[in-house]
Amino acid sequence: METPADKLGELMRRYAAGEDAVFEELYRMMAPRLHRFCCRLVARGAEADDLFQDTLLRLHRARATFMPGASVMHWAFAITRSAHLDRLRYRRRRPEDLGSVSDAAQQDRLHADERYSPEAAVRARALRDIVTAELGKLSEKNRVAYVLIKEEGLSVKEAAAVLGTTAAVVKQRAHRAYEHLRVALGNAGWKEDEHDGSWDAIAVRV
Amino acid sequence: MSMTDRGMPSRFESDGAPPEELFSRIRAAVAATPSSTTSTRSRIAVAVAVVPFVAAAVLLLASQLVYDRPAVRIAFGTPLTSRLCIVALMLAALTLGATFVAIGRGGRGLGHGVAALLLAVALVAPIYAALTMVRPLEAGPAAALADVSPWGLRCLVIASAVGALVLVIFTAALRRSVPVASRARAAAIGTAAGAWAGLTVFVFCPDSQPRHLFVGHVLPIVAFTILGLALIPRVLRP
Repeated sequence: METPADKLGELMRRYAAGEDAVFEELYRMMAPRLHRFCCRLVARGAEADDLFQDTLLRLHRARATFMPGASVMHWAFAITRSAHLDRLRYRRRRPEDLGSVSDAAQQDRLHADERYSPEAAVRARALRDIVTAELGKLSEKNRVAYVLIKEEGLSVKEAAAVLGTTAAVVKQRAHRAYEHLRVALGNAGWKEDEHDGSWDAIAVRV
Repeated sequence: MSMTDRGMPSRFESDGAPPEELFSRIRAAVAATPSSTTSTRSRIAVAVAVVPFVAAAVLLLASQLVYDRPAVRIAFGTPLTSRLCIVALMLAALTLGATFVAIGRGGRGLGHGVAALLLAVALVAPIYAALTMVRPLEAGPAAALADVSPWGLRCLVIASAVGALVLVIFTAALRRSVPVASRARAAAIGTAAGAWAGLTVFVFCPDSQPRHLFVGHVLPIVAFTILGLALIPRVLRP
């Protein structure tokens, strides 16, 4: 049976070979995860859209460099981060006022799943807001390691390949981010379940 | 830790988050942007096939047209010993190994890992120096009598020409295909170009003076590593 990853790989293979007609289908399959990743990398919603657009243009220009059989999403994440680092380099050379780090526009782009009870949705939103704010305080390296492993579900080795570093370094960065979030969530009144690692609100402080 | 609450999924989902007008904008931009469809695998294969001929062509041109001497050291007095063959084979293996690490795609299509790249960058020049300088091969009587440049400037010129051409060829083959560790990869490509330059001058030059070997044979490897690191990361990134 063909998995979504297989289908995505096949679409990308055809697109890399020059079949422009599959772009829309490819976009529909990749966009949600890729856009969410962009939202996690940058502070503001409009900037996330710019990064997302830049990433897809780069992906288009580099489509022939995709290696059939490789993971499309990992390749796309690597291109996204490369685009993001280019933008950071550019900004370092031309500093400007970027405004507030926490932007309501971005908050709206990241949706906690609301298919469950209204109470659960409210808790999820509160948790999401804290995590988003705290992720913004982390260094770019720690944040991206955390996002790839904990939110995008990559293994440590896969994240290391996407980030161009070793597994030990990625593990360390993700752990630092995890510790930062754990402390921040604890301070905000959330308690981690020791058995399944899930979080529950123990006080209405958020 | 998974960011879950009771009964909620493990991730913050973005249910089709990018707005629709963004898609229209991107589709228009993509349609207006040209892109190559020649696979990187083909470009790498062509590059690897072309490079030995380029090195040989530079060697022939330099030896026949500029320096007026034989293109290979064994025609210039170096005795064809088993040691010469072993060192030549080891240098060829070193060069091919550096090339494989620098331009290989790796298991995930993102290139070889940063540890392998940095190892290649750090080890190629010292290994080359150890093989050629610790116990230099016999120069032979013809070379000893000939006017071989004492500072290795002739070899430096040939190595620079070969290295520059190889660097351009490898960079063109990998253009826009390195989203990860582009600086380490650029340095490794520079090292590989330097290794091809070093192999070429080893085949060409019979000199055994340490000063000549260092300036004309080893230094280009280091120089091209630095050049690669300084000049090509931006070209390699998508």
